[in-house]
Amino acid sequence: MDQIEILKKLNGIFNQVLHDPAIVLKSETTASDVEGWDSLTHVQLIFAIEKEFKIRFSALEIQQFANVGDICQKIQERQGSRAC
Amino acid sequence: MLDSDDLNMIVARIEAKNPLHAKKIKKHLKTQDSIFFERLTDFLGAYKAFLKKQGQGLSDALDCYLRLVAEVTLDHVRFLETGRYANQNFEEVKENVYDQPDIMDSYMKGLLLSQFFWRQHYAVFSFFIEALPSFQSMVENYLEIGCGHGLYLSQALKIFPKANIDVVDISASSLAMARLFTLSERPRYIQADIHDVQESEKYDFITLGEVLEHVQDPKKILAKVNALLKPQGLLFVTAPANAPAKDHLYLFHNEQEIKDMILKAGLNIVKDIHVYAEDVDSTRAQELKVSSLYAALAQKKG
Ligand SMILES: C[S@@+](CC[C@H](N)C(=O)[O-])C[C@H]1O[C@@H](n2cnc3c(N)ncnc32)[C@H](O)[C@@H]1O
Repeated sequence: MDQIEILKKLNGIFNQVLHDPAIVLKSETTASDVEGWDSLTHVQLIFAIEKEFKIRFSALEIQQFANVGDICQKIQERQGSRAC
Repeated sequence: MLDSDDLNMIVARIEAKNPLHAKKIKKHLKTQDSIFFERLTDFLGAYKAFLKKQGQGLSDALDCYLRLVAEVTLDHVRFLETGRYANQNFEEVKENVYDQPDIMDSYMKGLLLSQFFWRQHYAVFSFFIEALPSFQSMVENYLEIGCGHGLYLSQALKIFPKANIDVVDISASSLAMARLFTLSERPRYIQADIHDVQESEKYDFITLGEVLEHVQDPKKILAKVNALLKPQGLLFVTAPANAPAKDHLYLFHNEQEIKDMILKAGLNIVKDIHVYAEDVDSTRAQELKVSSLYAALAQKKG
């Protein structure tokens, strides 16, 4: 799966989990850019992302995600294709 | 907010390593009053002295804390998947956690910081230190079960300066940490499984903080506590609901289940509180299975 596809899917997950269709993600988007992205919704987001992409993150990975690009990159790594 | 170098360092380090958690911490600190910052200043002083004796500083403790936060976050994701706690077996947890000095050391150092930085932990800690002084004159024999890091013990030592204090914990690491953190030789530190402690009605006050969820059958622990209390003796008990962790076995789905178990054990609930780990209303918290902590001051029937 390429970067654009992953980002698109991620965007859908964010829209759904955060109940906000207006969110438009970019690689550089951080939690401070997205009103509802906090420690509570992060757990829901990770849960939905793991399910969607059929992958599992480690504890360390989850803590270090600073922006959407980081998540994208990890998903690609797990899926064994090139980075974002 | 307190103008403290320590606090600035703490927030900056959390920000650098876990930005989402920093967002939560900053919000938490904004809602606190001056008493919180006074208590935090005292606590950080004691904590730094404790760490220094081990050749460590606050940044080492923060790394333990951040490790704990990361683990608990992942445990929660797994909990949402399965609806259960991952561990079911007490002996396994004992072998893999309580009997592992490195794991316990990091765990308890992290958990100690959470007492001030997690809203549910601080609310319950405040409840404890505000409730205890009114029993000063009646408490001769005091027992804490599962002291862990020793923060609650440090307060009991201050509030009951003349009481005989016993401390039981299954983990040698927890007892060592509590001893070093409180710097007190007044208590009898007893390494034992609470299930195995001999029953004889002798305590005026028992503290049982976050232990019920660590055993397969918490009813047995409450029966034991009831047997250890004098008639009309008091129990300070806390337990979390929906709070997966590497050493949690018994899943309470909500605070009512905890309350019911205390009442069924034959204790009266004098007062209690229940606090979610996130600042959301209870409908949303229940829907999203947010962790919470319940605490009660209960009394044995006379
Ligand atoms: C989460 S810590 C609680 C620390 C502190 N009381 C608090 O409320 O923050 C749980 C402690 O209970 C101890 N523990 C677990 N099961 C026990 C048992 N069956 N008997 C005695 N101690 C036990 C553990 O070793 C650990 O130190």
